[in-house]
Formats: sequence, C-alpha cells, structure tokens
Amino acid sequence: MWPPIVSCRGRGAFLLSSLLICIFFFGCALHKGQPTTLAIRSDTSKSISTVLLSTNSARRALLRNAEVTSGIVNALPENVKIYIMVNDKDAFVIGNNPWPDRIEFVEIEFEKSITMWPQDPFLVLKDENQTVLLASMNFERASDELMAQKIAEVTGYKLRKSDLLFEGGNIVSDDTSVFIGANTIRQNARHYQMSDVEIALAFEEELGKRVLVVGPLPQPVAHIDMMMTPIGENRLVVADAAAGASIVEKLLESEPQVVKDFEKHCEEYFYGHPAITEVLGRDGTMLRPPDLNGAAQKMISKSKELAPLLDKIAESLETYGYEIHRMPFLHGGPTSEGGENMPQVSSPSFPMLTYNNVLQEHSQSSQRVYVPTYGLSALDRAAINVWEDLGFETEPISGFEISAMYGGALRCAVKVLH
Amino acid sequence: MNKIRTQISTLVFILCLLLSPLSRASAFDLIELDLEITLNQPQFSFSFDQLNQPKTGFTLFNPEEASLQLASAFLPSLGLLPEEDIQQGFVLYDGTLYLEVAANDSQSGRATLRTTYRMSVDGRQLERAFLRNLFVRQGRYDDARARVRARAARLADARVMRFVEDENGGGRWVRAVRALSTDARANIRFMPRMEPDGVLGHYGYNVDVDGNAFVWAVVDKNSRYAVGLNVDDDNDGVFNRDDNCRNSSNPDQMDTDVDGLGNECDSDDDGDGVEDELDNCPLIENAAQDDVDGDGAGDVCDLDDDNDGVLDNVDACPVTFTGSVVDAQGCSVDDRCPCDNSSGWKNHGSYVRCVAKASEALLEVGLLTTAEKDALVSQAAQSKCGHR
Repeated sequence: MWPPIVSCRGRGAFLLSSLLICIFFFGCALHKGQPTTLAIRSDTSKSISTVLLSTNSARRALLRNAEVTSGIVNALPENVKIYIMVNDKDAFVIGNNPWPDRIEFVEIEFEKSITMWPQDPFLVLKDENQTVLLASMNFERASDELMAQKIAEVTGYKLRKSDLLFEGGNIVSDDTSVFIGANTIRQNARHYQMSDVEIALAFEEELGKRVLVVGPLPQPVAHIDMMMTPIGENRLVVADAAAGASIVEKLLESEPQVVKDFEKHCEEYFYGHPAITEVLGRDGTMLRPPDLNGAAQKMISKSKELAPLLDKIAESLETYGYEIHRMPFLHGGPTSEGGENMPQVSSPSFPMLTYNNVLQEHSQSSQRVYVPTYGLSALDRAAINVWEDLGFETEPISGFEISAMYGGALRCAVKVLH
Repeated sequence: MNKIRTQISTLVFILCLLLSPLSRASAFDLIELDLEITLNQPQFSFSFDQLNQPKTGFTLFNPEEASLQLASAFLPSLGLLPEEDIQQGFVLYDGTLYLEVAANDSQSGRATLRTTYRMSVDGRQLERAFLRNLFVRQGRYDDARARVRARAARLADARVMRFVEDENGGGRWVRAVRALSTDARANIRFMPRMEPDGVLGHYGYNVDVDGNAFVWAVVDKNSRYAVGLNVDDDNDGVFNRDDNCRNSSNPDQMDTDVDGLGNECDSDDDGDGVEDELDNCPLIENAAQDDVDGDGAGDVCDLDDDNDGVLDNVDACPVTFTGSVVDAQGCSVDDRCPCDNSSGWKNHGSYVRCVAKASEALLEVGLLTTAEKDALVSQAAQSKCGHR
C-alpha cells in the first residue's frame, strides 16, 4: 500500500482532458521549498559520477547499440563510473578499454532479454546519506524489471519497490519540482480506481518533490523527456516542432538529396549494417526495415500538426513562472497505440529527432550538456546552437538515429545513479 | 524481442561492423561479433565484401562435418587489448580477424579445422600519413620514429600473428607457423605470391589485376589472428624491406660501397677486394693497401701517413722517414735538406749549411739536443751530398 495521501482539495483546479492542456500543480504545504527528505534525483544536478547503460546483442534483440554504448562511454568524463548491463557478454569483444577500473559489466542471465533503455524501469532517490533505487510496481518490457535489482546488488544501493506504476522517461525533475506525463497519472488512476489528483499526490509523497502533471491525454510524445528538459533556475527547454519542421522543410527544398540520403541511411543501418536487409523473427517470419522513402516529408507534416500542442504546453509552463526556451524537434519514432493507456510500441519508423533527451551537469562555473545527434546536420547544428546560446558547453554524441526510430535517445539510454 | 537465427542455406547473415575507427588513441571500443552461424558442412567460405574489403574473409575446412558454432569478427581498427604485447616492430596493418568455433556436439573436435584467412590491404594504408598516425595511435612510437617506420612499410613484409593464451588468462601474439605434418614448430619462410595450398603456416600476399592487394595465411583451429607487417627483425628502426642488414642492428644503414649490404653485415665494406678483417682501411677503397708508416692504418685512411705526429692535412712533408724528428710543419732535417735534391745543390757547402740551419731550428724548440745537432751537422759534412 502506498503512504497516506494528503488531501489537497480546493488547492488547485484540475482538468485533464484531450481538449485542454493543463499543467497541474500540487503544491501541498508539506513539501514547499527544497525537499528535506528522500527525493528523486534532479536532472540538473551538479555532476555525474556513476551511470548505468545496457547493451544488446544481435542474438537477443533487433536493435544493436554497442557502438552507441562506446560513444557514450567516450563522451562522458573519465571520472564517471560506468556500469554496462549485458545479457550476452560473449557476443562482444572489447577492442580497447583504456579504463579497466572505470567500466564494469553487470551480467543478466542469457535467457532474460533487456532493452537498451535503463532510464525507465526504476527511479533514483537521494538524500544526503543514501541512494535508493525505486522500482516501478510492475514493468513489463522484456526483462527490464531486473535492472534495478541487478544494479542494486552490484552497487550496494538500497532497492525499494514502489506501489506506483511509472516509466522513468516520463518523469523529469529539477531541484524543486518533478514533471510527470499525464499518461502515467492516468495509468495509475485506472489501476487503483482512484482519481488523478490522488495519484498525483501519491507521486509527490513518493518522490519527495512537488508534482507538475504535463498533459494532454493521451500524450502527443510518449515520454516527456523527449520533449521537455528542466535546466535549473526555473528554466525549461520545450521542444519546438514548428522550428524543427521549418529547418527540415528548408533542407528538403535546398538540398533534397541530403534528406534522401538520411532516410536511406536509416533504412540501411536499421539492422546494424547495409548487408543485413532482413532478419528471421522468432515466429519464423522475415522482418525487414521500414520503408523510409519520403518519410521526412510526412514527419514535417506531423510536426506541424503537433506544434500547437507543444506551444500550449510551453505557454502553460510559463504561467507557472518558468522561463521557457524552445528547441527544434522533428516528430517521429514508433507509432503509438492506445489512448490513455501507456503507449504500446508497434513498429519503428522515421527517427524522432529530439534534442531534449539530454544529460546535464551544473557546476559553479559552468554548465555542460550531452546532446544526442542523428546525422541530419542542419537540425543537429541548430539544436547545438540553442544549447550553446543557453550558456551550455555542448558534448554531442552521435549514432542515435536508429534508436530514435524506436523512440529513444540519450537520456533513455543512460540512468544516472549518482 | 525476436530471436535472431541465421542459416547457411540462405543469404541471411548477421553482420554488424563497427565502422568507426578510433578517433582517439584512448577510446573505449565495444565491438559486437560480426558473424554467427551454425556450420555442419565440410567447407564454408565467408567474405567481408560488404565492408568494402575485397578478399577479406576466411574459408573454414571442416572435413568431419561436425556441427560447429561459429563466431567471427573483423576488427578494422586496433585489434589488440591494452594488456597484450606483440613483437616490437610488428604493426597491425589492416586489422584483426577473430574466429571462434565451438562444437555443438561434444564428440566433435576441432583438430582438423583449418582456416585460410584473406585480408585485404586498403591502399590508403600504404600512405605514409595514415601509417604514421596508426603507429602513433598504437602508442609505441613518437611522431618522428613513426614517420621513419611509415616511410619504410611495405606490403611484402606481411606476416600473420596468432594470439596464444596463457594459463593466467592473458596471452601473447606469436607468429602463426605451425606445420601441418609435424608437431614440431618450424620457422616457415615467407613466400610471396603463392596461393593458399592448405599447408599450415604458409602465408603470402597477392596483388590482383585490379590492383587490389591482400595477404593470406593458412592457419589452424580457432583463435585470434592478426595480419600485419613484421618489418623489423633486428629492431633497429629500419623495416626489413629497406634494411640492408636485416639481422644486424644498423640504424644508420651505412653502406660504404653501396652494394646493398650494410657495413654491419658486409665482409668487405669498401668493396676493394680486401676483406674487412684484413683491410688496413676497411671503409675506403685501397686495393694496394699502401701503408707508408707501417702502423696498420692504410695511407688512404691514415690521418698521419708518416706517423710523425703532424696530421696529413697540415703536414708539409707527409712522407717523412719513420722515426725522424720533425718540426711543427712535419718536416725533418732530411725533408728540408734532401741529399737527392732534384734541383741539385750548388755545392757540398750549401748542403751542409742547410742541415746546420734545419737542425739549429729543431735545437731551438727543444726537439734536438746540442749533441744530436752536432752529430747531424758532422754527418752532413762527411757525406757526399752536394758534391758534383
């Protein structure tokens, strides 16, 4: 059972519907100001010291990410400790490892499948004295639910199972607030036959910070960390689909071959190499990469449709006192099914080109952001410029175009533990 | 998640190439094995043509038709692990071919497995700048030394190395030289331009009509193999191909007689027909072996031919009689006053006066005593020199 819920009736208006965008603020008295108890780790913390990645092999999964793993390891500072979770270590060889003490492999049984998204199955709570891994009550994506347990065994961090259902990618936070996608609230509300308000309050109690629920329902982007990023000091970066569409549209007019080459590249490298044009599925069917010819134009149109929603979200957040900055974004990723339920991945398609799905470090003298890039230079460059204009040192990490076809990027692939 | 299965009978191979060469010498590189298949045929060939590497691949011979699980990888960049060491001078030329075979049936063996590896050579890698950068990245040489090695690198020096594991889980790279017909190890010589003939340990290189270059090797069982240039047998910093003494260290490559054989290993450095051990000037041609002063140093290389203590370059009298006292110009009394004066003495008195003057000069600088000077003058007076 979850902890007692503090009633906050009358403290805030609550409307969640598919028509109205609402940012719901639960500012219960118990949690005003800086959290003093165990609280979810902030995305705007000072520095990253320990992270978890996970790596697939072709013997287990369609999406390969050994190269992306290498890229992340090499981009992060050398003093960052890295755990790499694998379930098929024999499928890899380490070509070079200049930091044998820094990188540690955590093996999961071969029979268990894992994805490359350790962001989602659990959250990291911290106070001055301890780190606690908070696992979702249930997590039914491959065997990812084992991730928290395995990493807790290796690190010695405490592990606790929450009474709530969540995915880490649909939750972002800064030092004072935690932003949760509306899908997560509604999913729990349905599970427990309770109101959205009560669920939001439960999250507040669980995560130790005031909660802002980001709608609408269903979410236009499956995880909010693909479309919004707190950057501290009451600032938020929100995806701008109109800007992204405009950049790619201009590119399509001025250099159509560049876009065509990008589409072709994503198709050819879908299974890791152009020579692999099909693979045999478990059920005996032959699987082929999605046809992306002309997909960029479709994504431009979809992005233009999405743009007003994202603009509304940005406006709503502004009314809560946040300083909003916009980031180019091009819609893509797998098609989602289900309305208010958690989106079910159907099939990958044109990559979701998001530059919000980042890692950050904030020190007294500087701010650094690790940004995923995809190989569409005009858009990559525009996004890097925005981050730099915000005063960040930027560290681009390339190779995310295939994972973005499945709807995931950098933050999805890295769980910051400390 | 879907499980991936591969079948030999179809053309569905799972290939994944880590195409990103290491951009930094100290970069983490996690590589997924490229090819995994189940083999139960007597022979299987695979080519990495898709990697733009014509003739890079392997053929596996499995005469027992055992059921084998195969995994292979082609590592286009550095294939060595940090803790591994190789013979100094060996350079990974094109990457590493990794082959691992596991028997599905415990009765199956690997003893009869033979593999022919073919590894193409990217022409770009013969470029000096590319090789120099490769050597620097390997961390073995500084930039200056790397340039020297890069200039000397040649395809014909290709070798095949095999990684041999030790009891402690480590290992080292050795030459793949095991012979087929005997368990004894033998140094099998490098044989260029021969096609693979199934004999273990043979290796060579070919350049086909299209200009594609590749090296090949017939090796055994499963292991990690690297094809590279073992180019400096004597570790003197000069590749074999350009080393005029391959088995003797001679960094300066001195070859006095320019006969292609460096002095260090040439028995007649100056090519004058006299063996160095007997040559009184081994580095300068002097077939006649002239040695005026008989000091063992031939005149052509003796800096003081007459051994009078005054070097030839300032010796006004370079062929002074041995043992004579000479002045600062290297001239003795006899040099100054030769009895056989080709221009002739005016008379005997002129001769004696010359001797007196010359010996007086030597007396004044302390090279002669008064008695010695008197003796010389007296000798001159009693001689017939200058008489007509």
